Amino acid sequence: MDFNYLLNQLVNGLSLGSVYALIAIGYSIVYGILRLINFAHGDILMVGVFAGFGVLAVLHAPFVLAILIAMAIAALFGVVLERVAYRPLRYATEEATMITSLAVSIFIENLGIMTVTAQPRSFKVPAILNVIHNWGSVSFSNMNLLIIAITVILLVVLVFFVTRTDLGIAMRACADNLNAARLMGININVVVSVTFAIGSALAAIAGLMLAGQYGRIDPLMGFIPGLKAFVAAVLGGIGSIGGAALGGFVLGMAEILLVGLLPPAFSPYRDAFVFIILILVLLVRPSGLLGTGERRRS
Amino acid sequence: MLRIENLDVYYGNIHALHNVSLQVKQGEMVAILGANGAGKTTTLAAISGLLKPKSGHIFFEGHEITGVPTHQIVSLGISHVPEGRQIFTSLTVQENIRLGAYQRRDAKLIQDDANWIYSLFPILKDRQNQTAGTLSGGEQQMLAISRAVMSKPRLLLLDEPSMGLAPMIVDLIFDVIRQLRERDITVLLVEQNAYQALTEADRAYVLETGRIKLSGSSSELLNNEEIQKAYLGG
Repeated sequence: MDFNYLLNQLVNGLSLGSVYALIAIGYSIVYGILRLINFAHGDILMVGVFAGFGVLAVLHAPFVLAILIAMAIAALFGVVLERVAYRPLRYATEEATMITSLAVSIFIENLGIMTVTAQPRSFKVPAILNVIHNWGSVSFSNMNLLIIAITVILLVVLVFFVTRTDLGIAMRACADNLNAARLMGININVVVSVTFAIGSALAAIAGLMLAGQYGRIDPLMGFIPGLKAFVAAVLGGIGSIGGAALGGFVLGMAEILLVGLLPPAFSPYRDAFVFIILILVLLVRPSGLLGTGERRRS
Repeated sequence: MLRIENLDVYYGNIHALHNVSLQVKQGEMVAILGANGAGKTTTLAAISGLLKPKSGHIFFEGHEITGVPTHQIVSLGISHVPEGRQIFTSLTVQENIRLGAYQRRDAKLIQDDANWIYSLFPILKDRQNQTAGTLSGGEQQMLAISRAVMSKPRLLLLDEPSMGLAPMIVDLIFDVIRQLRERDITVLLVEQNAYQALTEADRAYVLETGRIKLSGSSSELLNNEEIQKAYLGG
């Protein structure tokens, strides 16, 4: 093993971490406001990817348009999902809403299998994204660059949104103290819908990046990335946007490095590494890297 | 301006308010007195829509507001400074104040009002970029009032603004409340400190275990023997 090999793995880790970060943000902002762990988040990602796939395969539209439509449809899907499945449980316990989200996840996955079948389909991205660059002996594709660039841009936009706009500040206020936010004249339902829309759109674009990377999609594709992003959100400190992003990058990097540095016989266990990390975080620092510990909300 | 008729409110199975009726006229300052658990905070929460009454009616400027969502009640001109301040501790002072004006779209006038607030409480201006959770109790109360005033309310609901504060800070807070009244803000005040409330307010209602026990002008109540015994330590 040499230094260049390590650098290559770092590029891969950064790119995988970007995807986890984008998905984890959705988990985290929804949890921040509703104290809801939305296990159907990965399935929203899948719905977005299939929407994008449809645009590419049927309409032969440009990739950029497919991304935008996938984000829009996932956002709409997330908003409707909240309205139908979660809003009736707004004042239920965290356990009840979490179990509901598992049920919603199973429902969406099976709906996917019934409508588009479980047969994997090949997902092609424009040829330019598969071009490989070689810097010395470090190689990376345009796809890697695109994933990292999109993530950085979206993070900057999101930070601008939550610190500079009324709606974004209202979102943070809702996460801080829901009743006080009502007293400011904030319509909680609007904020919750916007939160679901943002989280779902980010999941959709992350899903398209994953699909582009692996070249295939199916109705269960959201399950594992969704769970891993949940681990990333917990690792960073669930409820915090910065924590979710950091957790995503750390987790992606850890996963790639563990696979890359351990003997090849361990590769099939890469998913297990991620969940070992979750167990370790919960044992050692349950509030996560950037979490401030359990804070009861009124 | 505000009229409550035969209000009954429950927390689950607990009957918190029994047949409560009260009125606040334009320009008045009215106090609600009572011990812990008498239903003072519940009354305010029902007015601002945080709690849905089981029966009874609440009218504001002639319109029924019973059961209307809180954000619409705010836009009608009612602002509520809740018990325990409830400021957004993870947001900055400036962000808290900005959210007070969440429904307003008159950017220029919002800035004027913010400047006026900062002239009332200069310490908040010094701390505007600090996280609100780092403020002292008195500063947090100032911020809670400032934030509520930023929505340009015609009726201000104040829940125990003096709770846990040093006498000097309490004087400052009530001084500001007097200035708010000069700006045509009507005030409904909930207080455990009966003496302070009765010296400031025009009229008062006394709540006991969810029922209105007594009501009258502040001077009447200050001289009432029962009140003196129960609330004024006389």
